[in-house]
Amino acid sequence: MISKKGIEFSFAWIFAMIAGAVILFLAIYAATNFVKTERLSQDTLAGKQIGVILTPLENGIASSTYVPLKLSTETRLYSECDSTGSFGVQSIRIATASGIGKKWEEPGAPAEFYNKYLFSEGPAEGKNLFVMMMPLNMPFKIADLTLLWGERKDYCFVSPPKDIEDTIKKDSLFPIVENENECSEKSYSVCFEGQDCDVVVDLNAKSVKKNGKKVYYDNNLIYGAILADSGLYECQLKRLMKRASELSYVYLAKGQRLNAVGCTTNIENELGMLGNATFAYNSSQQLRQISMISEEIRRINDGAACKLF
Amino acid sequence: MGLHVNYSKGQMKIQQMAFVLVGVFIFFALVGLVYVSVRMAVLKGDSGDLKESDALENVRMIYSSPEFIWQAFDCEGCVDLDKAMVLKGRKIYSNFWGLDYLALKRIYPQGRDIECSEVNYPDCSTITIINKTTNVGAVYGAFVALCRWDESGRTRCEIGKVYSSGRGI
Repeated sequence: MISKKGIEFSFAWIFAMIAGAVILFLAIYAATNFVKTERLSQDTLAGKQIGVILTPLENGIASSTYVPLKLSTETRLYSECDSTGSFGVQSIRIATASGIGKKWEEPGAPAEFYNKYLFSEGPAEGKNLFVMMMPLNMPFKIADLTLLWGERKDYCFVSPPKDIEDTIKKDSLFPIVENENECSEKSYSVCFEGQDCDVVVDLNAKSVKKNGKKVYYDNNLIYGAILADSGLYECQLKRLMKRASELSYVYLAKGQRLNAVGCTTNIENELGMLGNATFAYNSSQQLRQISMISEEIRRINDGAACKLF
Repeated sequence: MGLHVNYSKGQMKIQQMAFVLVGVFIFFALVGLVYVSVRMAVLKGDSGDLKESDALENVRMIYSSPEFIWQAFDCEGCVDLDKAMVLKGRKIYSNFWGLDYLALKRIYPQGRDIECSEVNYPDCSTITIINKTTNVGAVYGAFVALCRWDESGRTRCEIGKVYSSGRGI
């Protein structure tokens, strides 16, 4: 005899199972999307927060500031630069690591700043990010440079000159060694005397060679050239020169105002030259010429009765 | 004589389930709507907080901005009034600091309480550099020293305040 016993599925059961499955699927889909949207909005807010945090670190004229940023979760900070427009734009985008879904999602919407200049290589990653603020004076203050690196990337300086050694030692930023072999394998070696390192600095030519690309620097820009991608460095320099050009015209107008009240500065021609040279700026190769004009302006200003800066 | 319809037991069950399903979907839709509105309110609040802290940090640090810094001698918290007067006329800076409002006001010594122009400067009290809208929200202020070269070729610093209001994300 064949047994005819079996589980009987009534219409109600089948209906309930199908409807339940659809509801469950929709609930899981909605929850996943909520988590994604939540991460995106939090990352977007974090980008703006980082920008706001950087503002009080900006200095006066001479000093530099070093600050470690301790974050609650592992974070990737993307620095993007656009040199178009009046001053160009610095975009900061943040991606935070998550235990739900993929560890790294796309970073949040960019937080845009017109008056910030971040120098970093690729995304700075880690639970601890390190920030160094340095003023750029050419000869008057142009901006505060923001040097940024993560705990995943380390730099090892091989026999740096005294001034650089002092800056690095002041805050124990990076290890300083006598020989490249003493650098750890994970770190980028930075040499100053033509050795075959990851980053080679030519102090005479004021150039930095990194990943096969050479860029030029002047005063504090050396740190930006060492730490940043060459593309990002050139873009930030274009933005800095746009600001320098505008500032030249501001000082030119101030000089004319002082002349009108009988306090001559005799610096107008050179300021006009600096304004034009920085306005026409295209690549870091032009820095040497701009540096010469700015030195001349510094010399005249030092001897002026009413100093412009 | 009323209309009389006979429903079978199965049909009744289908109707019941359809009602339950519609109810469940409406419930989830309402939960979703409440969640979205709460999240939007929280995001708006966070954005407002950031806007305020941005304005606050900007107003605290504006004296160190190259466009305002007094560099003739080392002076923490000193603003170059001559440069600020130049900036007043330069529209290019309207978006630069991400602010809706930025102004400098002389507090002491009190002079004529009027907006500065090329004609009355420096015999005036207020230099409004950015003023984008009539409804700028919370305005923050910080004390600064307003410095300039006077007619006798000497530095003259007066007590003033910088006011700013931030812009949201």
